[in-house]
Amino acid sequence: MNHASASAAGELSEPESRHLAPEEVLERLDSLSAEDKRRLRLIERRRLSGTDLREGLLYQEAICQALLGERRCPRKVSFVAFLAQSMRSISSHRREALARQVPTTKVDGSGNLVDLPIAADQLDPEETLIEREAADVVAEIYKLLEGDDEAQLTIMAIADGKKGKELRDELAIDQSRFDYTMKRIRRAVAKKYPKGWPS
Amino acid sequence: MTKKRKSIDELRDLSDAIDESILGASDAEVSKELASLGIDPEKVAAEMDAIAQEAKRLAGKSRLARAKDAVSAFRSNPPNASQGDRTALRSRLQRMRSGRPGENDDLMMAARKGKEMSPSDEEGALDDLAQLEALESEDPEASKE
Repeated sequence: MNHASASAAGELSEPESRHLAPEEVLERLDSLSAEDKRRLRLIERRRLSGTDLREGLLYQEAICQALLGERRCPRKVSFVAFLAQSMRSISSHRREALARQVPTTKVDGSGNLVDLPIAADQLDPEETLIEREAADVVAEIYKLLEGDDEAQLTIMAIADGKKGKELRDELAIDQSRFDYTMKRIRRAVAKKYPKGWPS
Repeated sequence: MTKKRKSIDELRDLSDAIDESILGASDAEVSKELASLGIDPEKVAAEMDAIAQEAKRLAGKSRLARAKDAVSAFRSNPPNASQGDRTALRSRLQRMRSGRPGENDDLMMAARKGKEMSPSDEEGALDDLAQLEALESEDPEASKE
């Protein structure tokens, strides 16, 4: 089942509510296919980096939040895509929480606690650090695809905010060609960053 | 002028595009990629099922804890009826006990069996009535049911 291109699971007749009720969440959960569970496992693994969560916890938390109604699945969205999105969001919040714990002081040679220097234009040192790391990772991903012009152009277009048809039009490729390019990117990235990247 | 995108946004879009491509990938590709990461695709479904079971258990436990908290919060904040309110409640209770038509005939059946209530029973009944009125004022529809 392709969850990416279609809002697959949402083909219900005019629903009373725009979101799944908790008992419907349970039904969808129980009817996930083995293939979908494998997809979710791959996605979870990619989202662990930079968090203190071990494998399985992100998926567990996403399910818990769905069952408790803390995150609600719109009917128009595939349940698998919803879980993937929830894991992304949970890991992102976790990374932000951890980043806030980054010390802004250090102990100097004499054992005194001193403030780390922060430049005047760097009002938020954590944000500055995350932005610098992100820039390094984007550059690294681009470099990983050295020699594959199509993949590099795709990376540039995605990084430029293009999506869907606009993205394929810019690259002048059809969906199957795009899927094949993404597969190459995915593989290269998985080798370098098997657990995703930290920001 | 086009504002330069932040690297963090670029990376987020790349990450989302990769997730989306995983959701759209064929079953064979997904299994192959899991295997390349040293994960046995055949075992994944059972492992994910076990995680889902644990999540269901934790969610159930959390729901129960929330319900318990709600009950204790309700119990620890009994309606604080003023003396004036209490007098009004006492006359309502007496009307109910007298069994006058139209005065909540469906309530307090036991209280209308002729026996006098003890003072503590009466105080308890007043507390109950105060709680009931508080609930009705929170949900006006409830009093119609």
